[in-house]
Amino acid sequence: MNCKKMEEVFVDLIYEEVSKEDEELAKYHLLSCKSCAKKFNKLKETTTALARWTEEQPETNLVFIEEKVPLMERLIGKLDQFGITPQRFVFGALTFIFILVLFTGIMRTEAVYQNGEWEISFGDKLKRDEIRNENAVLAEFKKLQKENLLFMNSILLNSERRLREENMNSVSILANEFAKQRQQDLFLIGSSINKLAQRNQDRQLQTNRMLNELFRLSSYQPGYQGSSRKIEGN
Amino acid sequence: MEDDSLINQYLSGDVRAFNHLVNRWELKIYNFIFKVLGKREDAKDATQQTFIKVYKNLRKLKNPNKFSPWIYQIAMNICRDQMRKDKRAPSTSIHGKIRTSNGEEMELADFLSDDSASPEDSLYQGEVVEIIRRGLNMIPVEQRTVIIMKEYQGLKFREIAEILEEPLNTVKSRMYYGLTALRKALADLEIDKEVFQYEL
Repeated sequence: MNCKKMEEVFVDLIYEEVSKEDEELAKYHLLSCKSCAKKFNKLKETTTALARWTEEQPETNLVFIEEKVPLMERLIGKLDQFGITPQRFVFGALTFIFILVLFTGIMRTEAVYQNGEWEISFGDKLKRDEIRNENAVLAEFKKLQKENLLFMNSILLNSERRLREENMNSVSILANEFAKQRQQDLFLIGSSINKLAQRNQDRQLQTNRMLNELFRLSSYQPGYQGSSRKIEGN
Repeated sequence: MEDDSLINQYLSGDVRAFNHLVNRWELKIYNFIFKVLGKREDAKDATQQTFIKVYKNLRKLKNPNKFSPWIYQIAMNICRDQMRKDKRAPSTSIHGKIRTSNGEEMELADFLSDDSASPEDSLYQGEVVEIIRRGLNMIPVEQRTVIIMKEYQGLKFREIAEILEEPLNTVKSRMYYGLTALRKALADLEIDKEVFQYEL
């Protein structure tokens, strides 16, 4: 080993990171080369001096984390432990759901939770159940239809009765109004006739008086005793 | 429990797992940052920033086995930002105060050049640390980082190369030249083996 090569292995030698072979060669060289031995010793002295600066303790704890890691981040961390990225997880979950939907669609699968137990039906059984269910639905539909019919009838009857009653009341009120009006009209007509008769009578008397006066004037002659004719009147 | 198990536990919702992780790494990261930046207050802030960044981005870490290089990379980036903020170039200054063995406070440069300070006078640990810190600050940051990672964090050269994303030979080369430069810096500071009480 030459001096140039020695410079390369000095630090390896000091910190014991040298291969066995290089260590032997370096030690052999140091025994024979005073210049390298001097350099090596100086380096070693320097590292010994450095070792006097020991580690020191900071006065207080520097960091204390209290924050709780959110659930989503925790989940991502868990997945990360298994080398699964969130994107890969989402893709896997979607693929699984797609396959599940496809499978259940093909197999005509039905899962029912009843009385604390899951019941899964496939194919024909499901078909029979479907027919049974269809009949039940039809019967229920007919029952509801009948009930609706009865209900509609009752509504119509009630409406008709109420209408009739309202009409009757209206007619009765109208008849009363007519009777009252007729009575008033008759009274007015009667009183008018009486007034007219009275006026006629008055006019007749007045006419009679005027006629008598006229007769009297027309029959007046000296020595004439007058006619025996006289208009009767009041 | 390994780091990756703690990370997985935390990602599954166990907050305590993150606290375990913090407790495990807090000291290492703080000391790493402190040695790179050289200031306790800056180191505390940068350590906090590092763990906040870790907390925010832990879910993005694809391989929990790579937590160690990952957290060092975060810490390194924060150190770089801090140094950029401070516009801190590798300092060649030896100004500053240290406390001598007789309790007197004096300028480091005066102390080092003081004739009365005999080689037999041993320095307190704090003073030794101060000298090393200043020595490290006198060498380029790339070399300093490798030295700190190797010497104080006990990382393998391969791991350092991974963190810094540099070839292995570059890392070793930085280590060699860094130690050489540090030796020279300490010599410039007139620090010799008696001062450090070497046991060779």
